[in-house]
Amino acid sequence: MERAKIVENLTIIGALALFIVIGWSSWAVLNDLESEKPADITIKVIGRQFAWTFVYPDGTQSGELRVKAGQTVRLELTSEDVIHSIYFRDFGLKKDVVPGKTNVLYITPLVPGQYLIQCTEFCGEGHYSMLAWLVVES
Amino acid sequence: MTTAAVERTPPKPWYKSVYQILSTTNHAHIGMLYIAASYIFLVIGGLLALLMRFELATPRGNLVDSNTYSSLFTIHGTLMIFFWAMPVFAGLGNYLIPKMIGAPDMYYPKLNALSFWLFLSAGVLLLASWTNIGWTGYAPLSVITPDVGVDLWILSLHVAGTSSMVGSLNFIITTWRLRRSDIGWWRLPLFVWSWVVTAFIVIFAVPVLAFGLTLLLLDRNLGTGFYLPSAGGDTILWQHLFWFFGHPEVYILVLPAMGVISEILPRLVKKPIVGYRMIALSTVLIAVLSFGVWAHHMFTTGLSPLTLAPFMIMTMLVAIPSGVKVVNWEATMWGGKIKFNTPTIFTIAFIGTFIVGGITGVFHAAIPVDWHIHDTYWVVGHMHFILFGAISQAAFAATYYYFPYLTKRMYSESLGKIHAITANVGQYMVFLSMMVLGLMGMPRRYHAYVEEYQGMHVIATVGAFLIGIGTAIFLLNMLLSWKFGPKADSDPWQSVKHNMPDFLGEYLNELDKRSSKPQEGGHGETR
Repeated sequence: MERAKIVENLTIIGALALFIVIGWSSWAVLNDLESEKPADITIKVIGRQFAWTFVYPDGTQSGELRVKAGQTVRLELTSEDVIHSIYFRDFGLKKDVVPGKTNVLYITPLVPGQYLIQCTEFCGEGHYSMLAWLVVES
Repeated sequence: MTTAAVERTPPKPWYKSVYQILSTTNHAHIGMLYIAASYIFLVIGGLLALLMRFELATPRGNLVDSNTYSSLFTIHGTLMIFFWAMPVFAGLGNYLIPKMIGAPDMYYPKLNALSFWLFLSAGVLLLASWTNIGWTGYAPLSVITPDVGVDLWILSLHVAGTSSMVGSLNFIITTWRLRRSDIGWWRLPLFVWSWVVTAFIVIFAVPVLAFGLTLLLLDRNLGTGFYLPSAGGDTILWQHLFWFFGHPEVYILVLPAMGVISEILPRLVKKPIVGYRMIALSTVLIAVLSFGVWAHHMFTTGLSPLTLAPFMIMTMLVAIPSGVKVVNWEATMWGGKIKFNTPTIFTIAFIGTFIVGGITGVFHAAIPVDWHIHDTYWVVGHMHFILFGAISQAAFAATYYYFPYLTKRMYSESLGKIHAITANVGQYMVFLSMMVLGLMGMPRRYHAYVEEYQGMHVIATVGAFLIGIGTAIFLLNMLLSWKFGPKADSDPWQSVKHNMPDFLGEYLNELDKRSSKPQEGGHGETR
């Protein structure tokens, strides 16, 4: 009986200590991700059923996100119909694209290549086909 | 004349007469009806899941079209949560609570019958709706989908919510007013404890869902636009309302499962439960904390870091009372006489899977990690570890354990073991593959996917069919044993012998009767 009590209390203390470490580092990383950063380029992302449109500073539109390696890219996310979510699986970054609201996501791709962009908020019949490519040029 | 003929024949069991099924207000009968109906919904929901897994075995969507696929996961999700995991424990509660507290029936027997029939009609409504907006019904997709199915889905959840509110009030009042005077709060069986706490969560959480659903109904039919930014509304409002209900809902499902495990585990290992008060208090603590975690479903919606921080802390904290329970169960098993019969295997599997499912949930609390795994197959794997691996396996353990009481017959132990093995091998194949897929970046609710995900999907599909086979064996075992099984002992688990009667209240009532009879006889003799 006594031993069970000791194990129980140690588990609680251990879990709390672990949570303080995880919580503190999460908080630091989150603030770093969300803070205003000087961006090299600002690209507007428009989500609609069922395609992504990327609007570059010079006004050109494309279904492909094309950036240079090493650039800090500020993505301004808006939706024309329902909630979508832009997901860069290779960077582990995701932000909802919400109608009536502009969300901001910063990405800084370093390695040139092609990366898949997927929609991760169920948006209707063609949700699975709402894919695009991020092309990082050297 | 007909009545005379009926009187002469031996009474038919109540479940063989349609009239009796429709009119019964007996708590044991309603409990069994609840359990039977839940198992029917489990079979339907399971078949929908198998169809989905079959579709996902190949990267191209070629078995069903995209809209049908969406209906499959919507109906599967809503059905399994509201019409399997909730009512199966409501059924156990109906059957067990009066027996455990020594009450003759529920406090409001007719309301009890009402809540069962409301639940059943809600289930039929849900199947009829065949809607395709996802079980979370995110606005504005749920507002702009023109299909009348969405309205039926709303109606079904309204009716199901009313049913569980009525049932919960009944559980609380029954425990409060009909408890034997010598069963105090610190002697109350842990299953009753967890149902009383769960009932309070239902009463606080379900009205919020009902409110959100009503706004959705108005938006859809009267053009109000609460969730439409174009009309001045806010789409995120739905998520707040839905998850303010939706996360406590998780605990509405898991607390009765934990309660029933706390009840049967000590009787299976023949050792009293360790840390009774800690388990009871951790139930209350989980219930309180569960209302402060809803926004952890919304870490990617663009709320500010400062808004999200409290939810991160609360989400981590809620893991602690759950951990307390796990440690106490393990301490209960330590040094106990573990006999590997079917309910014991399922109980141990419950504890193990609950640890896996619980720890994979803590990952979401770390917001930057959540940004990667939110709305991917990781979440699907995590929640199925809890919903199937923990909650459903607790329901299976309880069904096996109480089977001899419910049917007066014994189930087949070897078929039970096959079920336990297939269910556990199957679930780790399905849900671990899903977690790997999530880490690879496979988003959920995809009808077709890029080819690199196929390998893990095939493993998951094979695992799902294993679970399906296991569940089929289980149901056959239950139905055949009910008819042909050997007659069960009146104390099938020797719990009375070990001084832990399964139904404390009923046992004490029995003792009272026995001790009062000789006294009456004694009076007679002196006269």
